[in-house]
Amino acid sequence: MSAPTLTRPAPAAAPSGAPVRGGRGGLAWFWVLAVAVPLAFLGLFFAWPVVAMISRGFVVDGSLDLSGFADVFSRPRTWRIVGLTILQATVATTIAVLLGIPGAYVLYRRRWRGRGLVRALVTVPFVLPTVVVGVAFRSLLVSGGPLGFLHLDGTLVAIVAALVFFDYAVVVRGVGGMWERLDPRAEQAARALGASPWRAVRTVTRPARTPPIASSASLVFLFCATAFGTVLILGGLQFGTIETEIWVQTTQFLDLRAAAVLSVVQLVIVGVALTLAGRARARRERALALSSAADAVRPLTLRRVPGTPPRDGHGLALAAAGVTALVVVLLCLPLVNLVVRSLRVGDGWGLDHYAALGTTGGGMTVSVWAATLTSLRTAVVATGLALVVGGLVALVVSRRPRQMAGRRAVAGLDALFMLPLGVSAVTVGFGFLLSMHEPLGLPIDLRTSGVLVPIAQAVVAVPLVVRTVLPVLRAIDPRLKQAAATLGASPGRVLRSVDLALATRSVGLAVGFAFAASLGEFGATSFLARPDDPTLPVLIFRLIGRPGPDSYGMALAASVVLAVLTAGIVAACERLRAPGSGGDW
Amino acid sequence: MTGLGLVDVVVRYAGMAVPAVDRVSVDVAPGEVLALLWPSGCGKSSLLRAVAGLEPLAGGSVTWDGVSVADVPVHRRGFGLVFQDGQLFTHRDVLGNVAYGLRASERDRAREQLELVGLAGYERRAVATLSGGERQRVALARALAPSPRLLLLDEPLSALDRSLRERLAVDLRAVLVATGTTAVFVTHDQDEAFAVADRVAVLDAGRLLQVDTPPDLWRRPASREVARFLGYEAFVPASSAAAAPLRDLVPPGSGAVLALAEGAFVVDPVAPVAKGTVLGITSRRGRSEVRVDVPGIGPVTALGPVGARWAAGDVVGLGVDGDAVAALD
Repeated sequence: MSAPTLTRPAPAAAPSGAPVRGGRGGLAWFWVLAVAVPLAFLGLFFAWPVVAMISRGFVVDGSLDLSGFADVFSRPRTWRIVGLTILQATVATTIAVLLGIPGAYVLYRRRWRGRGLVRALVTVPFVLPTVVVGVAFRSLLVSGGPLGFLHLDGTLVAIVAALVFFDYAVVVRGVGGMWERLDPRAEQAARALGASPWRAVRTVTRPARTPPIASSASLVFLFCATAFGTVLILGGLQFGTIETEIWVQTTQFLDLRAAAVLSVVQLVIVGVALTLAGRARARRERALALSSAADAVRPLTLRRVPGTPPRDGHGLALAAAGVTALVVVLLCLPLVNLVVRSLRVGDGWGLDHYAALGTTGGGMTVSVWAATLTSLRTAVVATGLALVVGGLVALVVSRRPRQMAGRRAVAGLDALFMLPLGVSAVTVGFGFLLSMHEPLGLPIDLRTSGVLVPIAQAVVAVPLVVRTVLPVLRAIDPRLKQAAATLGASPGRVLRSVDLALATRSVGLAVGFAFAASLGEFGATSFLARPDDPTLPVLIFRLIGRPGPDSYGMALAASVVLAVLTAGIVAACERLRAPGSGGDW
Repeated sequence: MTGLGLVDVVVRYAGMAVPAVDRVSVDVAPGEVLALLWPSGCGKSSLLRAVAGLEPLAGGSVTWDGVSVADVPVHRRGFGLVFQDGQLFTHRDVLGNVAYGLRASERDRAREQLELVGLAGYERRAVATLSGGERQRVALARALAPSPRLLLLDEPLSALDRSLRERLAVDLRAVLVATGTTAVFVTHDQDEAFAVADRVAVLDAGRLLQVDTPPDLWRRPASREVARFLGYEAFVPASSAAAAPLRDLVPPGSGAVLALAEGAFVVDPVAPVAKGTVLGITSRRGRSEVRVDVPGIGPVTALGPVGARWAAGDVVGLGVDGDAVAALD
């Protein structure tokens, strides 16, 4: 600081004023657009197709006919499928949470060499396309496969295992990301008050950690209850979820009424799960005292650190590490097996299946490489769309209006844009076919143009973008924006230089997840992809449906290509992410 | 040029029965630093936030040079605000923060501001790597950079530890004076208010009790309430027998009640003018502070020598110090 001055210079004659750009009018238009564009997009490409599909089941000759409900619910098959869906989702969620909690502890509360690599490894299954997960488990469990002796192919156990494989990362990342920043001093206070390590976990740590667990569990339940590609490949026609049943009813039995009823049932189940998730999330945002990650994380060592007394929780940590090590090995098994089997040619080894990826032989109209290009092209467009729509939604929903009515409207929009997470992608896909013949009366048939594929994928990816970007925007202290305003920044500049500048740090991750979701999207795409221009997941599904070891080998090789592509892109995007900006994932 | 004018300003928060700011009127002349001494309760920030335009006024008016700023949005008012916790932009480096309110061509001015607050060479540092004191210096430089016509400081030092707070209060005064900045400064700390401000306004429960220069405020508190906030701890009628040794310390006929701050009595075994019974001894900065019960006045804090060793119940002789006695009407 300068030395104190005793004489004062004359005070500033007039405010010099900070640079001021942009008027209030322009900003108002921006907000109108920010609400209108996502509403129009989802109204046209989500609500309308879904309503078209569902009304096909309930409107007969122009009048409402709800007899479909009674009819469909009188079928034992319906009850079996609904029961199976809930059973699979419940069992898989329970197992994923039980295994994920020690995983979150070891991977986020403890520090050790190689942790970053293992964290990335457990994330891989989550971003893998469902079709790839199905193929990987199939190749592991079929007779002749490494685990063929267990005779699990085509059983409920196989489906649950695949669902746990897929969703383990959701629990580990969701719970771990929050635990990492949980202030450890409450636990330390309990220990100092005489609680054993186990009692401290039970009475202090666990209650504080329950909201993130509940939040992750409801997400896992949601993903399991709507699982499509994996279940379709592993369950065949014997086992399924409501989602696969909608597909079966639509494509095999052409029973639109049953499909419509099932869509509604699924919406109800998913609505309940989403509500529970929302409650848990709200509690979590309120209740937790967070600290920076550095304070909460301790090193993990095999031997007790010299100087720490016995019975100090070392055994608990080792047990958690043991469970996690076992899980990581089990997670690797299908992946390694997938790669190994794709290299198996007859009785020997070779790259023949990969060489075949460039061919169109065996009745295939396009090569795998051509389908890969289609997939990438589609995913780029879908990601762009999802980013614009999802980004605008997150921006609008992150506002905190002073008036009660405004706050209600914001909460309503938030819930509305989560719906695509819950509505069956199959319903959306088939709804597109029903509604996009001459959309809005325009004389164009969007169904044959191929533009519907990226749009449908974007609809699926929007909630992922919102859930990744929104927590970052919500975490911005309102006073930070007020500080900018007192420095002379107009509302528009505050939006650009504070909200957007901070949100871009999470955009990398949002792009990654949106891209992965688009690349792997199968439910809607299976209806919309043109036969001569399929995406990679659609082509893989066709390949495994064909007889012969060569088609199967090609399917395996193509799955490896798709897996590597997806995991690589997500990994690249994750490198861009700033610490603590991951949102819910 | 008349600077800032507040007339009957009222600020209310939704759901609160009592207004956070209740009909406050005060003027701040150009170049003047006014401290709002707000010893207790909530709503400390409310008046500053209302002046900045961040809270709606429930009544009254805020003017600059006689013109109401009611229709001027926050970013056009030219009123800078320094928050209690700085609110630095973590996604910008130090220079990026300071330059935020400046045009792109004014980077040099941002450097000058950093120099002014003693942080030359910190331009490229990430704000996360700064200490608490450095952050507040950056926040100050950032707020000063666009030459605001008024600078509002919302307890800018209260998150810091005591020695740093005392040092920064001196530096803050130096910077505000050197730049000729008109400023309003909220604090709960009387020493800080006296160190930084030209005039101090004492508020309680949202109401303005007194505005004066620090020496006038100290010598002539307007009420017992104000005197208590300033640290006066005992009150005695000037006409009582116990007040006899103190009466001569204030101008004759200046008030009916004498207010005694800590140190109004000094332990003086050589030439005592009063006697007190020791209740207990504490220590501040080496010197002992002796709680004594003086007959007719009650318990007061007398300054004692280093290493005083009296036990409770001992009777000690006391002298007096005129700078710790004030007369009240």
